[in-house]
Amino acid sequence: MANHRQGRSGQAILEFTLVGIPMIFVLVSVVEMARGMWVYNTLAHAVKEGTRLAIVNGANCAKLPTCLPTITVGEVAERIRWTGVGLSPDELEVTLVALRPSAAGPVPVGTPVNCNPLRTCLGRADMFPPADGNRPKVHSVSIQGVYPFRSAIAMFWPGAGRGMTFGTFRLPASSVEVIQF
Amino acid sequence: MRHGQRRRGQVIVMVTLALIMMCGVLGLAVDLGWGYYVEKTTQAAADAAAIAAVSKAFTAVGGAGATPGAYSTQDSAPTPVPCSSVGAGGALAEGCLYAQRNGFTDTGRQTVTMAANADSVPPTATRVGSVMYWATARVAERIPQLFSAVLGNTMGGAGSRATAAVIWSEAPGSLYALDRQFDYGTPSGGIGNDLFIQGGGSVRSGGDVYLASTAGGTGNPPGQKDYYASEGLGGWEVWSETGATYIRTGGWSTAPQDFYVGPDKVQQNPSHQPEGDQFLDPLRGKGQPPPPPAGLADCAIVETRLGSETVGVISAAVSPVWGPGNYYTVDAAGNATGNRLLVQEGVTFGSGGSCSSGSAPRTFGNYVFFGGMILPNGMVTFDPGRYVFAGVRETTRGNPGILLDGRTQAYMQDRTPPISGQVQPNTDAGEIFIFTDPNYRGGPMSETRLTIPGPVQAVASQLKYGVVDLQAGGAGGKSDINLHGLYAKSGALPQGLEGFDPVVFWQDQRNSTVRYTPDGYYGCGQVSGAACASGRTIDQPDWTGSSATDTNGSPEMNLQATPSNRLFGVVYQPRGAWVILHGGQTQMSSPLQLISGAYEIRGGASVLLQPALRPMTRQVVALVE
Repeated sequence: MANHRQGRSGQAILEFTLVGIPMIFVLVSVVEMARGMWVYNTLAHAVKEGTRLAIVNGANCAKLPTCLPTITVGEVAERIRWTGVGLSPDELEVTLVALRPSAAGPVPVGTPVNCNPLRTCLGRADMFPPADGNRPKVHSVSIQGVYPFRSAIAMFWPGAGRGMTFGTFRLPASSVEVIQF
Repeated sequence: MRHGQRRRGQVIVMVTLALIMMCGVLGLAVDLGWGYYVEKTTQAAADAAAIAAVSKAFTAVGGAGATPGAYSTQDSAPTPVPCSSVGAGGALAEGCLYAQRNGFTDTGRQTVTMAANADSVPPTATRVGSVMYWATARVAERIPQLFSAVLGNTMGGAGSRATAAVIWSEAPGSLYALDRQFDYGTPSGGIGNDLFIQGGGSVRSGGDVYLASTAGGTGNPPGQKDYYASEGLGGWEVWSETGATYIRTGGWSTAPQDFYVGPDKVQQNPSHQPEGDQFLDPLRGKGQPPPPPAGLADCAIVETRLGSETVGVISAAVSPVWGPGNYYTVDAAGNATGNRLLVQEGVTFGSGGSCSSGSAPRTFGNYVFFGGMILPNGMVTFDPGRYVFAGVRETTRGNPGILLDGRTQAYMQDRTPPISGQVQPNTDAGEIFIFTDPNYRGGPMSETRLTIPGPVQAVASQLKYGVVDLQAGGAGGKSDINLHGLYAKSGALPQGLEGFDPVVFWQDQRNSTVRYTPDGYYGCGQVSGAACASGRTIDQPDWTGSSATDTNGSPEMNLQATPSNRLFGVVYQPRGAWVILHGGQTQMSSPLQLISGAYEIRGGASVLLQPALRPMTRQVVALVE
């Protein structure tokens, strides 16, 4: 009996080694994939909300005494921060740009506004879209966001260990809409 | 054994805990991701529903020409009502229909509600202030949870709201050339030519320049001259200081290197843009300015022979101020003759009294001139008012007469003088000059006819469209045109004219090679929904004559650009018409927006279109939230 029990105890360790480690890997993978999807969905939602804010507060709105003043880079950035629940404004990179139509597709009007990171644009008072890219029904607003996603899966990568940081995926999302108002 | 038995349950507990955690995280990703997706679709449905509801009402009241109060007959529901209880046929039902087409109905787990009202502030978008009509759509769906249900959340939810309204939209261009590649174009540039500059002329604009022709020098029509959307001879340039020049994709200039942008005048070729709002008539949907009401006084002017022409003289010696009325010439027997009226130096058209018993309270007057007008020389003053030029006799059969003949050293001024040579915005009601014939129709859907006085009816059929020819440039630089367009906020504009702020010259849309609908759209292919007849497109719509080159009278306007042509507001001609800007010593400089089919700039004219101080606006349907 004793010999038999001793043999079984080694079997459990072997079984755990063969099944447990892949199971843990799968578990961590599922969790990390889910977290990545969550980050991406939130990012996409946030940039879409920022775009929406800009397109319904365009040049026609700015002409109304009740609408004044024109929407600013800071207000768009604040909307993105507010709707991007869980995204750090110190890591989120956002680019705001007005587009005009052309035969070759939309082209930027003026210099894109780079919020790298988003926090640098909070409180900015410059107009967005810029005056020469703010024609309702003609110009569009494009907002692109990039968020670094650091996955714990990277620690399973061969060679991971001392001296290696976790792998970082830069998740991109963008939204383009025509200025409405 | 006991020890082993105690360990047996651990795996189950660990796996259970791990699965719960995994489900939680998966729920965060899958259920939240699905929620975001559903929210995106609800937003699309809400946007479509709100725009559809307002568009339905917009079309029902006559589009962009609607007047305040017109929407009072449309669906009204200041508080949200579920689509399941909305009656058929109205704006709300249209919104519900579009929500349904986007996958959302007011049944089961989905809810769709609509709210709408006229002449009020949208409760969810108060910053837009009071609008003529608004509609808010709310679309929501309850979502069964998959993984999150493990944590006790069996149902989630996603919803969106959108508000659309009828709002005013400014036209950003300084110069609109509406002609397309098969339209008449300019006399020198030919078919499909939108802008022809010769003799070293230039255009410098505060806003954008839009050319709608796709003529690209490839033989248009086939087998004929190579036409271009823009063509120039000699040194010439087009410089848009705060905008750019846009040509519809396919159109080309003979010299794209002669286009500039920016305050620093940087060379930039015209940009190509695909078909879009900016290449359509910016005043579409407004219809035409309504004619004066019936009941104007009859101002019969006994004609006399002056030189080679028999005219009716409106003389300052008879009365320095002439009041509102229907003006026409009569012979000694009192019969209307349809000859032109000659306005002598020193005359003021005052907005009070009538005919020769006029006064000048500077409010708003209505005048109709049958037979055309000559301004031979000297100053003529115009009080704020609506001046209708209703036809002129043809010079010879088939050759148009000159409807408004401003000759060398003619001065036209209103009550807002320039200061230090700079045009000033008017605060009075301004003037609108309407160039037409006795059959003019205006107002919403153009249902109001111009009233022809009884004596004029005998000669009305002889009065046709004519050329507008303001050769105001004169030796010594003394000539001057200083007129201002309508101003709605003055409070003195008659009902129906508010939507035409700040038009100063308006050419009848019927006097065009292109047929317009009564509400001011091209005959087919525009958003009015008018279908094109077989073989017709927006590029080749219905012509008013037998072809694009049948000019149907004379949709031509000659404006002498020098020495002091100051027009404030908008000069409007329909597609198919053309403006000829003549040159001279100095330049035409005004905060002016030009709309016409095509432009020809002759004699080195330097045309400076300053940024519009009061740009034209039109009603449009747009999302505001």
